[in-house]
Amino acid sequence: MNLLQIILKNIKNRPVRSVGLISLASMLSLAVLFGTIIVFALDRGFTSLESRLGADIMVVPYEAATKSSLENIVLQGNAGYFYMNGDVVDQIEALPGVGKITAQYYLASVSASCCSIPVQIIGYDPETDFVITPWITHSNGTAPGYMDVVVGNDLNAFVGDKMTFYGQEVRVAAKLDKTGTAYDTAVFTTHDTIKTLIEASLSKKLNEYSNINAGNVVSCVLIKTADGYNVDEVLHFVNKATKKTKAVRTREMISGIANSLSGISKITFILIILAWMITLLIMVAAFVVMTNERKKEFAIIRIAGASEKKLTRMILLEGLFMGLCGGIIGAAAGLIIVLPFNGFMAQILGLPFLLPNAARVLLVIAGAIILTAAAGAFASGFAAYRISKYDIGTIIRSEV
Amino acid sequence: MDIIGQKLHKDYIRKTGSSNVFTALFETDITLSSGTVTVIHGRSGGGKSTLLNILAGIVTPTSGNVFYDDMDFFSLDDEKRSSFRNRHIGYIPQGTSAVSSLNLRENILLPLALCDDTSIDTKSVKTRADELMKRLDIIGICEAKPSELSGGELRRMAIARALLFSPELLFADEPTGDLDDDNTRLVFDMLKSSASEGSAVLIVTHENDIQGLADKIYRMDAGVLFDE
Repeated sequence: MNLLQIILKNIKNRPVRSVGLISLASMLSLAVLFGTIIVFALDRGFTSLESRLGADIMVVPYEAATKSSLENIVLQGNAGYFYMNGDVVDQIEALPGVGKITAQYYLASVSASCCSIPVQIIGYDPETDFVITPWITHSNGTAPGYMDVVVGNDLNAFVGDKMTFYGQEVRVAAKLDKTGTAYDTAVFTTHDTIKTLIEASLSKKLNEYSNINAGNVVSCVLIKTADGYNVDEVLHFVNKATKKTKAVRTREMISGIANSLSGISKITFILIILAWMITLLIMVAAFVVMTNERKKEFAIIRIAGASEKKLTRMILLEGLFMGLCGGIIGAAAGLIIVLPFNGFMAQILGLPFLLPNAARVLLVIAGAIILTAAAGAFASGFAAYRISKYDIGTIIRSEV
Repeated sequence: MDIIGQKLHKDYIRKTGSSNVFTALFETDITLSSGTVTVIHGRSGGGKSTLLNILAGIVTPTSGNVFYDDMDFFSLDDEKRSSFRNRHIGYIPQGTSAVSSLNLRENILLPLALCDDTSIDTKSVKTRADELMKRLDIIGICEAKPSELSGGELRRMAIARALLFSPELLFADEPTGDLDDDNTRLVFDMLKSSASEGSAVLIVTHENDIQGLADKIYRMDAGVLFDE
């Protein structure tokens, strides 16, 4: 029998106290892990959304420029569409400060074999696109040809599958990586294909815009400002030069999300600190009560030859060990909740939500375990410090 | 090994009447020689246990010195004093003294678990523990938890623990206070046999019927030691 075995026996042979303290520690670990992963997932989702938007300015038909309508389609993933005259692209391209420019085309499916709800179809021009193409490349997907589509990660469709929109059959050429944004439930295709689909929707009288010429409409124009120009300046040029359109900063579009995200992050951070402090206080109280109950035992251990340092180390290790056990159990429980139910949590939060990568999850796990073990060590260390100040001679003669 | 206590004085800070200071022990000199049993008896609260605890290095005196042969015990730091206590001092505390999560055998082996001396022959210490348990008739219950043991069994366990390393100095605080006659006789036999093996034994008790046991008897009253 050595010091470590005595510690383990103390933990094992006081099951109620040990289970109580380990449960407390595991709740702390779970709160830290759960809270941190949610904050990281929201942050990653937001970053993903920012990079998916990929442009500084978005020009849309004036009637579609109300923030809610744009947000509904671009951010919330609700299927919808709007159009403006395609000539606007050339008009804007000629303006100063416009670096890259590309057009996108929107259409909502009436129904699709993959999904129970209408799907947002987004068309892009592969020759000028700087938003969708890098993403397809990143996902190792094949660029879609005519009547091919690339599907978002959450759609129940796979490479080689056939899908039908407005009676037109398309083939799934690639499936994108998850982004944690509304784009995960969208379908992407080239401008040629979407124009065919828009024509089909018009001929079936299923398009709200019955008077448009499918060959010469765009839904939005995305602009990347040229070096040396600021976004507000270019925004002003666009709004001045074009009619019946509205240019909006993409960052402005997601400012609501950024605010919500910042709010949730702050609240979560405060809750984590609060949970940590409350748990720490309870653990300190529990250890102080526990050491008071066992002070005669500690006096016996001192008499048997343990120095103050050794006794402190013993109590500290006991707390550290229980904190560590609780930390591991809590982290495991947190992962069991977070990993399978992250989709559900994203739905509840209604914000871009993308789980951190494995390395970061491992860091969070390690952090939660270390923080919890530290709480256990601190609580027991405090109690050990108090007990070391007691007079052994008095304790040993007491009947406590 | 001889123990010499010189001018040992102990004040406690506590509210007593008009003063904050309570003197438990007035400048006391005492010598404990190896191979002898010294008994200090007297009324409860007379300062006997304070003197014993100071000599055992458990309580620090307000003034005075304790010498183990030539070594000034309180000049050592806590680490060294604890280590010395572990290897050379046996202490039988008043009342029950068990670590509740350890069984009887593990309680007896507690000094071994706390021992930093790597040269120690663990096997022979364990054999000694078994021998002590046999002599004290507790070998049959060596796996029992303290909560399952009687007062007499717990006291015998404390004696076995104190004797584990065959200490040169053995301190016993009211060792027979709550024991029946049979157990009292057994405890005294063990203490005497320890002295005959060379230990310096100090027993403090409020009982007066200890003449047959002691080589040297003191009486203690109100912090003052009287030679008898």
